[in-house]
Amino acid sequence: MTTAAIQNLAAPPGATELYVDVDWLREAGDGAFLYVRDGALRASWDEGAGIPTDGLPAGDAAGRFLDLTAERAVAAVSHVSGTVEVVGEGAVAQLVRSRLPQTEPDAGPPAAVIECTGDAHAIETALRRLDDLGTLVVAGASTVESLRIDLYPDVHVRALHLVGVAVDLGDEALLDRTLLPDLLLTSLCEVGGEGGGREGCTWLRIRPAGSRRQS
Amino acid sequence: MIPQVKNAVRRAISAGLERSGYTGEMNEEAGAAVAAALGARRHSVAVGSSVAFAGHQLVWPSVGRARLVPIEVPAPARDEVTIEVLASCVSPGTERAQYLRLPNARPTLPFSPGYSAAGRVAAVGRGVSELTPGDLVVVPRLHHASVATIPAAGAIAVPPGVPVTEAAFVYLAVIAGYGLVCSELEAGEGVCVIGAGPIGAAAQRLAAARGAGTTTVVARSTASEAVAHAGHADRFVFADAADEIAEIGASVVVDATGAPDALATAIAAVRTGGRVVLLGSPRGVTESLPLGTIRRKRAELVGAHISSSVRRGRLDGIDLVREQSKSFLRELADGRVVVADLAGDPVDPMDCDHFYRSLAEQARPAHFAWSELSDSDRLRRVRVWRAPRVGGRGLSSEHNQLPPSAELRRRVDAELTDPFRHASGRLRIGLLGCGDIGLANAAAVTRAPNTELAVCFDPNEALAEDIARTFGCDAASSSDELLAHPGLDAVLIAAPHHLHAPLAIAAAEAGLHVLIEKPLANDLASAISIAEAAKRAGVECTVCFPFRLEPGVLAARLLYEEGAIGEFAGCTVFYRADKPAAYWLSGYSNRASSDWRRDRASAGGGVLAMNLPHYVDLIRYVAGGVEVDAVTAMEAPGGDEIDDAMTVAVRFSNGSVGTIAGDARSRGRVPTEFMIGGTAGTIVLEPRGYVFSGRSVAGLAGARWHALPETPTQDVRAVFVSRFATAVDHGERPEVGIDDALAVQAFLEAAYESSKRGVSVRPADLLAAGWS
Repeated sequence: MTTAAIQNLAAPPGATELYVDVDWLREAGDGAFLYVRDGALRASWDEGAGIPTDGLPAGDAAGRFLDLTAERAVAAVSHVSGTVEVVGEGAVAQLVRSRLPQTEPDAGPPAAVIECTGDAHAIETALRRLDDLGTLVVAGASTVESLRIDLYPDVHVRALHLVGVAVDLGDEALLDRTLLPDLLLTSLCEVGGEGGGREGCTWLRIRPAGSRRQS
Repeated sequence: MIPQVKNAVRRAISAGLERSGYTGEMNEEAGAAVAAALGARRHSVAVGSSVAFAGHQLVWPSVGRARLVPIEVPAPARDEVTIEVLASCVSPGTERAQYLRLPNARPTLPFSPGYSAAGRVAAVGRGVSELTPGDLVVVPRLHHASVATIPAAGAIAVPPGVPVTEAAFVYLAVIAGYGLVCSELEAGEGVCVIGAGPIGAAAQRLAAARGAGTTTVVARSTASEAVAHAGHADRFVFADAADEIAEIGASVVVDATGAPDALATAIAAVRTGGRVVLLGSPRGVTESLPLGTIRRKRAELVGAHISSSVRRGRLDGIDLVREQSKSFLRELADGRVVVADLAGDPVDPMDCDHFYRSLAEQARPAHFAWSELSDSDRLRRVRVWRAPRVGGRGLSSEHNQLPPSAELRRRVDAELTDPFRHASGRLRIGLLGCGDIGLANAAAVTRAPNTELAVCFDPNEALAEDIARTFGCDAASSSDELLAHPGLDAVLIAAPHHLHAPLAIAAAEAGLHVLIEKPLANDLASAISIAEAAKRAGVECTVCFPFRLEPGVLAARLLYEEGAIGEFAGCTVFYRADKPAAYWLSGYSNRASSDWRRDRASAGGGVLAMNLPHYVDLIRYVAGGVEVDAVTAMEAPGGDEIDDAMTVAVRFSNGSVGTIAGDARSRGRVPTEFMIGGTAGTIVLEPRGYVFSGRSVAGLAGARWHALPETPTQDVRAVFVSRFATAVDHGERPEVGIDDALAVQAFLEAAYESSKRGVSVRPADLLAAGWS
């Protein structure tokens, strides 16, 4: 996580808060993020209306978004027997790790990879690392809408599975009022639009410069 | 065999072949055939058998070439069977990609393509109890070959009633079925298949047979729509109908196209939470895999290359290929799946070169019909101590061509045996001009059974008297006297070119038919005046183009008509002669002194007018229907002197191009070259006659050079005048009509006009302008 990656995020007009998994940050500022505007939680990659938080703190809805993403990513590999590798250091990656059964790492290639960064290069290298018939779960929110890739050598010939995981912002489960996992509560860092943050942060709440409103 | 001995044997074989005129490719093919035979025989002996099995296999020896080569396979060892293949299935998409060497489809050459086959068990090894000789079986993974010895477990019995060609489709069905396995299709789920090639169509049909709900096919063409309907798909959507595709919402989408950009369509067609099976091998990079849509739809993309079935099957403890094969055969037998249309058209394996070239242009379902080969070419038992059959012949146009096929020889011979058998009437002919060519024509008229040389004339009385004495005819003292000769039916004009028109017109006006030594006249205007005079008088007029009757030309025309070389694709003529200075003053023989040949006004031209008319006629004759559209010519020396050398670039009526060139100053007796090219083959008529056809026509082996029937024993000039006499007797158009003669004359005129003006000229325009 760098200050530049945070500073370069282009907050939409009217956004009062931004929530970012640290794996989503990009130096160039084109990373993905959730944001709050007009009392609704929205996503930078989705031009839809977002979900009104109805009095629920926006940070809770954003955290729930990350938690649901992790839950679905883990469900996508429930059939896998073998090593499951997780790529990323952010909140979703940590939540995924916490939900996976603890196993001794296998010396061979992983049977599944849960890719939480959404980075195109990370996705490609994960495909190459996978064992034949393996599963790649694409769980990272990203502004990367499409990927230039030769599907023949890995996905086709080695019969890999590429599974998309997403949480719809219209999903009522985002408004679940049960307590967020500790892992999320303790690793959220509050930073200003000018950057900052501390060690151990897995996701960030950013208040864009000039915003005086509090959630 | 220890390596040193092996190498020594190979070197000895190679040296022996080289001594027999084998070079390059021929040597390689022959060496490979011998090595394969020795290997097969060694294995046969090792299993206690004294026989091996010989047949043929399809090979791509180098980029863009396909060929049928002899092979031998060993007698079956324990738990093995030998199969006599009757049909092998082509996977049009993959084999086309491999043939074109598209991305992700570049096999190492030489390569033996192939997918699956059906045939009869020819022999079984010890321990084989489930199969017996004569059983009909499929082999799900086999090169295109007429014979194979394989593990018995690799052959699966075909249920009664299943046609061989449909059974041979088995491996394509296995591939399609494996895609459905990878999709984990559940009963009632909607399936959409992108692409309607054989594998895509099979995937849709198998899905329907295996309990899918609605099946939809997305493809590009109306032909694909017909395939979808034949497979009873519930719905067909054109690939460019984005809105309709977005509404499909199938649980399972199978991308069977192999097109890297088709995946976007597949993702668009899948419902949220659905599966997309990548069944067709992507031939290149997917520029835009819609990752965002995959995520949002929570879709699953599943690779399904058939090679992964081994590991997948191992996880479940089953042989997926065998299981899928059996399921498919049961479904075929029960009528739950129909693939007759997907098995495609039968292709004679001899036509493999032509087939793959056409496949490169457009993928289409097909299967090799090995039953088209003769029994002995398909499967022959060979004794291990007998010398193996050596391949390699016919791979070069210069060395070791195959002889003309028996069928071609028989058909050409039918034309040549007793060439006068249809002769009728009796045409009394007067010869005008008694020089070199007059002498040859006099002899021809005398030899033909239905013509008679009645009288001759030449201003040089000695020449006329010589002809009269030699052939026993009268000698007239003038051309008028000849024309008035009692009982005369026709004249044969063998005079200097500028005299053709006045003599021919006078003859026609005297009611006489006219034969004229080529060219028709010294210019197009004169030629047209001859044609008009003949028409007015109601007499027949022809130009002597007797080389049409040579065996090689007859064979070439026959082969062209039957499609041996496909569409006409151009020609090259390089006529070469070393005409001495004396030729221009007295011809080759010095029989008659005259310098008309070197005068442009008298001769009409040099090498082009004197020698090339035959070639122009032969091109039109062999490739019937093809005309010269335009010419661009250059000549040497140019100006008022006649042309010693001339090069004419030709565009033909079908858009192809060619070169017709002549050089009368070619020192050192360099042979003339004459070649007619086609989209599927090549005919060479000079210096010797050869044909290469990508297809097996008239008994020729495909993609091999064959000699054409040899130079005639018959007198083609005598046959020519005889046929003219017969045509006159029957009131029919002669072999060479006046329109043929005018077409050649217009070509000559256009070439000279082009050379003079430096522009391209259309003969038809000159001809149209010249008619009154």
